[in-house]
Parts: sequence; C-alpha cells; structure tokens
Amino acid sequence: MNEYSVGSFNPCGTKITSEPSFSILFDAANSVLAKPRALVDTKAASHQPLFAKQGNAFQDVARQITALSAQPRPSELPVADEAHAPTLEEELFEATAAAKILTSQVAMYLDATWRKKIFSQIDSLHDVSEWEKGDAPLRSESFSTFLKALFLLRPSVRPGLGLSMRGYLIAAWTSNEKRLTIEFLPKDKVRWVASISSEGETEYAASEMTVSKLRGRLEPYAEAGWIGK
Amino acid sequence: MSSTNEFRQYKHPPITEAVIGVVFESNVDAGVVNKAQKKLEKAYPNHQQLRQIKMQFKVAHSAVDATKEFNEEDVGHRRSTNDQAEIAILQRNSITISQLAPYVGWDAFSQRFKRDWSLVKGVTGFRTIKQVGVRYINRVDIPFEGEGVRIGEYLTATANVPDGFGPLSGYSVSAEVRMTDIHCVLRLNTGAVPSPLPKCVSVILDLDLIRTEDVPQSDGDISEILEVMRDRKNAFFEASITQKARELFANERI
Repeated sequence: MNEYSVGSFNPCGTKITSEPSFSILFDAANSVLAKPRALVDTKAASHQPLFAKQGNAFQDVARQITALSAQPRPSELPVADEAHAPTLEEELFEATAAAKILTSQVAMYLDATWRKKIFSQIDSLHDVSEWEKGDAPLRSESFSTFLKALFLLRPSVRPGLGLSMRGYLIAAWTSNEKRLTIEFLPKDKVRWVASISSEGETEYAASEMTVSKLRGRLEPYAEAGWIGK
Repeated sequence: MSSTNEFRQYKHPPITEAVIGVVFESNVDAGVVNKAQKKLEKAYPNHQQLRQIKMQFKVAHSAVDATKEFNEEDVGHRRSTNDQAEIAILQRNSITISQLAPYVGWDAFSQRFKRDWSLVKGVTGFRTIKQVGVRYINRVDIPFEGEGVRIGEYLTATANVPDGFGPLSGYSVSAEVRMTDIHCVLRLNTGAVPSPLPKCVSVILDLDLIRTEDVPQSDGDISEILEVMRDRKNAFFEASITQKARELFANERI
C-alpha cells in the first residue's frame, strides 16, 4: 500500500478516513497529497501548515489545490469601468444586460416566446430616446424578485411590464372588472394593488409582503389566467 | 466511447452555461486581439472591455518602507448577442465561446465555436495551443415541501457526511479526475447554491474537462477532440445524476 494512500496524513495533519465513503480509486501518485517523504516530519517541533513554507514543492501543492476550485464563468468576468462616467446608453445597456443574464439562470423553464417578449419589453422600457431624466434603470434585485414571482404565479396571461422611477419592475393585468398591479422590490419583497369593480362600486386591496406569500393572497383578486396551476 | 446519439436529449437540460475554450502557448499582441474581436461584431453586436485588477503589498519592518500598488489593466474583450445568451471572450492568450441558457444543443454550439475560431484565426494566424477545454455548468433545482430534500436521491456526486448529526445546510465539493485514455482532466465542482426559484434546493454540477497533454493543433483535430471531450462529459454527467433528477428536466415550462 502506498504510504500516502488512504490511512495516511495529509499536509494539514488531518487523518484521512481509513474507511472511505467513496468506492472510487484514489490516485495517490498524481494527487495533491503526493509529496516526497522528507516533507512530512511528524516529529517536527513546529506545526506550521505546509503552505507556509517556501520552495517549489509547496507551491506546486498550493497551485494544484487552487486549480481544483472553480474558475470564474466567462459570463461573470468583470468588465472595465469606463475611464469616463458611463453614458446614458451604456448605463441602460448594463441594466438590460444584467436582467437578461439573470433570466438565463431560469431560461430552461421559460417558454421561448415569453422570454423574447420579456426582453422586448425590457428593451422598450430602456429606449434611450424616450428616457426620462432622473429615472433609474431596472434594478437587478427587482428583476430577480419578478422572476421568482413568475414561478409562483405561473400566469398563462402575460402581464404588461412597466418601470417605476426607482428602477423597480411593475407587472399589470387588467380586465373589464379587475385590475392587478405588482411592484417587485429588492430582497424578494412585492407591493401589490388590486381592484374589483362590481355593481357600480370599486373595491381596493393592497399589501406589501414577501413574494413567497403572493399566490395565496392574490387568488381572490385574479382573473382566470393571471394565476396558473 | 459511445456515440453522442446514445446520450439523452433532455427537454429542458439543466445547463446554465456551456463553454468551449482554447488557450495559446504565448500571448497575442493586444492590437491583433483588438482586430480579431472586431471580426466578431456581426455575430455579437455588443462589446465590453474586460479588466483585471492587480494589488501588490510589500510588507516591511518600517511603515515607511511598506508599499502598496494598485493597477487596473484592460485584458481582453467580451462580445455578446442582444439577448446575452451568446458570449465570446478574447484575451491575449485565449478565446472562449460561451452559451447561456437556453442551451441550443451541441451541434449549434460547436458550429458557433468553429465559425468564431475560424474568424479569429484569420487575424491571429496560427498560434500554438497549450490547452483546449469543454465546460458545462449545470444546476439541478429540486423542489421541496417540508424540511428539505435528500440530495443523494438526485445526485450521485455529492458530499458524504455521517448520518445522525443533523441536516446538511450547505456543502461544496471539488474533485479532479484524471482520464488518461483521452489525456484529459475533469474538474468537478458541485455544491448547494442559493436557488433562483421559490421552494427549491439548487445544486451546481460544474464539469470542466481540460486537455493540456498532446494538445491538437489543427482545426480538424481540435474539432475531433472537442467531440470526444463532450461525450466524456456527458457520460460523467449521466453517472452523476439519478432517474429522479432526470424527471425534473422534463417539467413543463411557464
């Protein structure tokens, strides 16, 4: 049995279990734990961690362990802050791009047509030629809450989308008698207003809550299709 | 290895990002890289500069002698489609083609790589390659009611901890598997992540297959090895999940 296989000490001094829970073969010769015997001195007075020492062998071990950790995703590599303050066009592009990348995290569950429609609406809301000075572009925290709400409500009737002055996404459904508006806030919060008109009277309801409670609260105010199965 | 046709075609594959990457032996001139990225403008209309931040601290006995240095350096180009689903990244030593969800299938994705590779090579000329890689970042979303889920019912590549001491509230596993028959190393990173979906436990299964030995240099050989690597990645993925997980990939879309 190889001296550095299961049952030996690893560089950090923790004993590896002699009864591995995995049945796969551990290749000691090529592992990050393989090292010349001289580097393992269990009688040393000092208990310095292996990586504190100098020398190529130790750097190799550290390098191999670093290599095990996940490399950043290409989609998440940092882009440059421009030397100048971003133009309005750049700012609006960043906001819409962030929302689209967020959508990609759940795109495997989204109908392709609706995904395109959402993107089209977001682009339209950020049309630089119609932008109001002082308004904030779409905040990704708000869009994240919107995506969660979609999965909870599963509407078959798609809402119209709007944007508040603070950059919070708004979804709205209307029918002859009912109206429902939801504003998506950061940290999975939503603020909604519903109205029902009947026999010449209009009844209103409003609340602010976490998105996880939305479905149960809205069911009395929703038309068919606003909340799916 | 089995043909790709033998692997399952899922209705909604759990792929969040698929990547093909090539690393050169030596850096390409920054001006040449800039010229190459412009060739991709038609396919990827949006351009952003990539940056790298370097910080260096020199610690000395005296505060007077201690120094710090902070540099921000432009290191490459990121090009993307309007829906941000297709990304191409050019750096002085690499080209990376990325596909975000929704995944379009290997045929379309690999064709895109070949197209972009050809365009870039047309500007850079032949460069010795030191690494080719195929990486698939999957996310398995497991719905739960009540206290939680047994990850082991969905994934075979997971953390193993003793039973009876309380539920697992988080984990992360990194492992490296040497596949000597194809001169590749597979880096597996898996672990629980915050879920973008309500009432779900999400687990990342990040499979990164790289080849740094006997690296192909011709376009034909590169295409061939990418197919082999993709097949092997598929086999590993299928071995990492259970039938219960596969049933999740057939759920209806909204």
